[in-house]
Amino acid sequence: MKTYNKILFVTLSTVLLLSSCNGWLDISPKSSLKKEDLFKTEGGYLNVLNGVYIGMVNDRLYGQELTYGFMDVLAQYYNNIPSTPLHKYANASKYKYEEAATKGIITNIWNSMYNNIANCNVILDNIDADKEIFTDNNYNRVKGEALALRAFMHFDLLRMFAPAYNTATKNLSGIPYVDKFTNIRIPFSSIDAVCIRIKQDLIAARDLLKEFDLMGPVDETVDASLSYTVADRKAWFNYYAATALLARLNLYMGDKVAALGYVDEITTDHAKTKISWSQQTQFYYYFYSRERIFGVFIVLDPYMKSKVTDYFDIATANNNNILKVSIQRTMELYETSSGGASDWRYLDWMSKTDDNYITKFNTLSGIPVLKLAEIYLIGAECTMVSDPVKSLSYLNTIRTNRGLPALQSNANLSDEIHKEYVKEFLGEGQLFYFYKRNSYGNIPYWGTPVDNKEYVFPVPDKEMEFNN
Amino acid sequence: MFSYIGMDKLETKYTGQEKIIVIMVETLATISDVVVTGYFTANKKTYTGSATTISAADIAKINSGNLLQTIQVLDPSFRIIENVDQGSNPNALPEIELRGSGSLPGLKSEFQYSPNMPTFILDGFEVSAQKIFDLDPSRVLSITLLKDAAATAIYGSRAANGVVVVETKTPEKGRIQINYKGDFKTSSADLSGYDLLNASEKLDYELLAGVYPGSNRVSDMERNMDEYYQKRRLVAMGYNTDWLVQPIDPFSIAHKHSLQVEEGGENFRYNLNMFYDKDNGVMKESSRDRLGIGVYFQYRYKNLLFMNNLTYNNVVAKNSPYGSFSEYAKVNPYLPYKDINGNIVKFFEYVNTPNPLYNANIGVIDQEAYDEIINNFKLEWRIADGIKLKNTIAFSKKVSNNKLFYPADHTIFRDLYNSQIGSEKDKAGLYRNEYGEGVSFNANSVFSYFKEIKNHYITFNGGFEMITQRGDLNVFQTRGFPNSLLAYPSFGTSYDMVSTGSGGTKPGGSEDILRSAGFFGTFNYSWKNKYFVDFSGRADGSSKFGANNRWAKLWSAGVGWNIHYENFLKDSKVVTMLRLRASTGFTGSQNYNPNQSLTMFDYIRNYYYQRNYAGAQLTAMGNENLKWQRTRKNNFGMDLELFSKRFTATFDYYIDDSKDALTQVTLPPSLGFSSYTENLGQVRNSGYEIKLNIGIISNSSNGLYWSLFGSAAHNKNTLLKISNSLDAWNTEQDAIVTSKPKVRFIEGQDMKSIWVVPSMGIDPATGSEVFQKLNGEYTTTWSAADQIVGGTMTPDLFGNLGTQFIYKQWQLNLYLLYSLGGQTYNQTLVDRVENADPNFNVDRRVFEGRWKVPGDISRFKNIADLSVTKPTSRFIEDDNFIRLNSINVSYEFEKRQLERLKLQRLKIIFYANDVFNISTVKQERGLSYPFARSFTLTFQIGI
Repeated sequence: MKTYNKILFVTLSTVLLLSSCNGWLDISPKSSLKKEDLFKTEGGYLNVLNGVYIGMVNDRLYGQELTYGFMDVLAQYYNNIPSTPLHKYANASKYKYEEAATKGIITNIWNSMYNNIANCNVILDNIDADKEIFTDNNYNRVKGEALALRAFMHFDLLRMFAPAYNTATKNLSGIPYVDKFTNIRIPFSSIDAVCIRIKQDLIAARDLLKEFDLMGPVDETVDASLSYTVADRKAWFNYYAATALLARLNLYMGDKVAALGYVDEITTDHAKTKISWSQQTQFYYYFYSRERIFGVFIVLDPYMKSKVTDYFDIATANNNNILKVSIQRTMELYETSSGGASDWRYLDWMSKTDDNYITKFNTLSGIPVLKLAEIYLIGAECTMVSDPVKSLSYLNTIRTNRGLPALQSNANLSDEIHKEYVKEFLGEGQLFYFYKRNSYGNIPYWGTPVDNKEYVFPVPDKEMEFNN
Repeated sequence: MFSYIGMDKLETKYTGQEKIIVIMVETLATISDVVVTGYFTANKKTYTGSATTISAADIAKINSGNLLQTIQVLDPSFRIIENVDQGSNPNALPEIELRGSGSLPGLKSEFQYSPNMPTFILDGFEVSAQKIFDLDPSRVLSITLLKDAAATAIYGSRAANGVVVVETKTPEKGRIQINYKGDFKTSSADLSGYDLLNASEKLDYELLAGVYPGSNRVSDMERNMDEYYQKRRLVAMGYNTDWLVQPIDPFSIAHKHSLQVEEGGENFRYNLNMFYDKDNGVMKESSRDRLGIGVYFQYRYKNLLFMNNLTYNNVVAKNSPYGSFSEYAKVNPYLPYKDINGNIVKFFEYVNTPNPLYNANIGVIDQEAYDEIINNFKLEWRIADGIKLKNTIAFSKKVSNNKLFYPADHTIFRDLYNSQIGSEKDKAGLYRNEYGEGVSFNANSVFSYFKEIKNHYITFNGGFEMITQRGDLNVFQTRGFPNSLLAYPSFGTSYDMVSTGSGGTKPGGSEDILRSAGFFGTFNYSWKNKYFVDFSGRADGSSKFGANNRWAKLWSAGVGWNIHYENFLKDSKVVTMLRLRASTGFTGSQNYNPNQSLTMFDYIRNYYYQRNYAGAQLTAMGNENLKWQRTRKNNFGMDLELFSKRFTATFDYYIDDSKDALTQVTLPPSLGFSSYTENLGQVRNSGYEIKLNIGIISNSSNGLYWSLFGSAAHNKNTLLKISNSLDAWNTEQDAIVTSKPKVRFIEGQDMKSIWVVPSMGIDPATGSEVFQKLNGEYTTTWSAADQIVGGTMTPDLFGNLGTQFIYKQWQLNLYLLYSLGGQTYNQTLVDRVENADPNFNVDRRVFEGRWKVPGDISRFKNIADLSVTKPTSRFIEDDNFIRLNSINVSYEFEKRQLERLKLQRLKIIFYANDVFNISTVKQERGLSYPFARSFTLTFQIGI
């Protein structure tokens, strides 16, 4: 019997020793960061959120291609490209999306945007379970911004890779709305369904951000506990950015009433919203610091100049890839022969040398992504038919804040809105979307008529292998 | 007291007689009666698994450099993948497969570990293949290869590639003994695959190949011909360097010493051992120095037995400063390597290419070194008769330090060294330091139970095991070392970017952690030793597995029948043993990067978002469902002995299906990543192994024994299922044009298939190659789509043949390795004949001639066609070979001679290894490091 007691002792001690094995098998090598470790602290979540912004700043996205690069090439702002066959954008400027270099740019946009979305999703998939680790308003901030960024990037993907929204197209296949971090394929949703998901996410984000965001309806301008300022919040996706994006989205979906509601929220009281018009003195600086609702922070050196000189400064640029807007073209864009010579934008945003190039970003630390002028233009477009007087007043507000005389009441509103888009969004990547949304049959300075062949980017092959 | 390695110890009382006749029994018999599984020993008679046991005596018969090569000679299922590049480099760790390869290769170096490497167990604990590579062979008591499910299932998730169990010697009972073994080896390079042109021939070839073209401008033509005649003058002056021998050490002497002191008392036993091995390779100044010290104690107290084994090892591996051997095979023989003052030139005249000899004499350091301490403690408790508990704890720590130093005047820094810009010049010279540390801790506890009730025998072994391993590697690279006197990192001018870094100037490094725990058990039942069954199982938890699949549960079952115990064979004088066994079960493999199951982030360097906040981004999509790779192993075996062991044979047939093989799966990019790792692939390895041993003469009266033995293994590898990413990979590979056939993954094919476009030969009319398309049409255009399997590198049969001859004190052993029915792509014909660059030295077969004018019938295409020859069936050759792996002659001194010398034992052995290699393929072998033939003289002395 003694023997069996010994055996029992051995067996029992073995079982006890190894009863807590599963936890022991979790390892965390120091040279790489495991999701489970990073998400143990609030700081980890903030770092991943910052990682999304850093991803957006990348040259493939808002640091270049989606602003002054590819998108503005498509808008035909630059007039030197066709004569330079080795130019990076030589084929892009002709809308040859199947050519290798252009295809590469488009594939990179798709892949990088969705990679950023995956980073948003990994936050959103985990944050609710970890709610208790957050202090102050950081739970609301991280979740709100991640939701809004996910919506924002899906919206831009939709604007690029699907036909513009209208009653005929809205049930066509759009893009996949990826709302979780997974390895299971997510099918394409219809354009309308994607818009609805974007709207839901933005409304949810607004609710989360509303209570504390300095770039929101709160009265403070400095948050003592988090030591943010309004300027800081403008580099992060804030309450008004979500509001502005809802205005943009509703206009896109044709719901002008809803869009106007969001426009009003931003335009009614500039003092309260902390988004106000610039002034003539140092316009090149104030148009960014004051009028910006959300802009990506890009600075590498003190200013963005060192980044954009590769493309914009004849003295240092790689000559093959320089982006020039000739002095003649600039004068046409800003209508200098018919009263536009006093336009602050014309005065401050271009070098006006023989080799005329964009100097708009030289003293900035980032690129505006959503800004006040667009909200007024959305207002003008939404009221163009229903309330032309109000529409004109939106336009004239912009013009007076750009050093231009007010328009007469007989002005052609849709032409004037187009002209403002051209003048306002130079280097910011919005003009092409404007042409696409309003189904322009011709893009100025491009000789051939355009349609969805030019307006809709081809979805990368790798994606189509899974989703056709 | 008489003792003898390989013999049982025997005590005879001295009673004053003049002569003592001692008949000693070979211990071999006892080792071969048990199967050492690493955790416990099993009775071979009633074992259903497929296992090969190699004894210390077998190892001593072969002496092929290191243990891994020895195992290959003794069991053909253990295959060292031939390394045509590294040849006999003493520092090249071989790649091994046991019964074929069951894993799919990683596409982006996902596998830091070789996915097909078997698991090595040394004295009960898993060690790296390198540890076995550096082990003193004379310390080894036995090596057991566990192959099928029944044998390996107790290793659970580490068993799929087979298990190699190595046990070292422990002191036997007896008085103090001192044994010394010394090996003195000389090696010479085997350059038989090389057939290069001499100076005069080379120049003739250059002229023929159009290196000195005529021109319609007289000045050009004159300049070209002037160069030719200057070279011709060199040839006439007698410049004809045999470059191949320049980096070769003509008298490479290696020596190895192993000393053991041991004593075995009733309760206390010890063994002290020391080992020093200076293994010099055939290339100058390349060597691997191994030093080992071991202290073993064993103490018995009542029913408790304590054992402790402490070993220390130091290995310093030096790579030759002469660089790659291939550089020497390229140099033109007419080029003088010394100037008129007798100094070695840095760049050759006329061709302005670097002189590889120059770098050998400027103080290059290229060495790897490590120190390792292992302590192994065991406590065995005999609870009662037939009941035993064995606890073992092992700790090891290994510190490695690799150095690479090139001073500024090394020819790779040519441009920087000559630069007039100070900041550029400062970048010449490089010092790279890799500092690694590995700590591992293992513990296991095994409970054994044996019970005999009438004719029923029951054995149970069960236990648990815990393993933790941590590895740390730091890499720093420094630049700017004007000369070799400053060969220390602190003399550098700046840090250099390490290639593993993700950009910027930064050091590299990584940390690996592995933890695993396992519960295992095996149950054996036999009835009268006639019929027997085995059941084994193991549950393994590992940090490598995804969070959702932490525990692998693997099992095996086997049955066996000892027919010779049946009544009808019981008294047979012919069939003395006949056993049938069959087993099946699942085993696992975890030779993969542990990070594949984890979702990982990386911090973004060099960039901060607003207000200097750091950002982190996902680096890869982990798969929390990732599982161990499973292999279903089926084995059928037969063991036969006729005429009381005069004829023995073992036969095994197996089918191993690797399921859930890890492979990259492509994702739609909208999920944020292009791929992730999934258990998707399926690979089958099936084949058979035969071993025969025939005792032809066994005459104990005049001490004459002669036996023949041989083995054969056949393995067929088939890809059953692959993932979409391997498909995509095939397409990507097809787009890259090279002269080497590429590995392609096609379902139903062998992973070692050689993919080529079938060739109809060279068209005598045009000199261009004619290919056959898949639809049978002829074409002159090579297309990846027309590729077929032109052959396979896996041989039909692979094995050994050998003989042992003993006459009194003399013994002769001979081992031949053979391989039949495999193919190879003769890269020498492609790169050094057809695509030969006339600016370098080439294979003599260039003179066989390429097509020149219509009507020429040639194996090689138009001489004017400078395009790269893409994979074609034209260069596939049958690769059959037979090699003399080892032959040795030994003389063992007789007792009375020994008494005069006051020795217990003296044996002298002469070995010759790798003396010849007869092959159907004439190809350059040993590209970066030549193969070697070696001759060894060994002394074994016992006091």
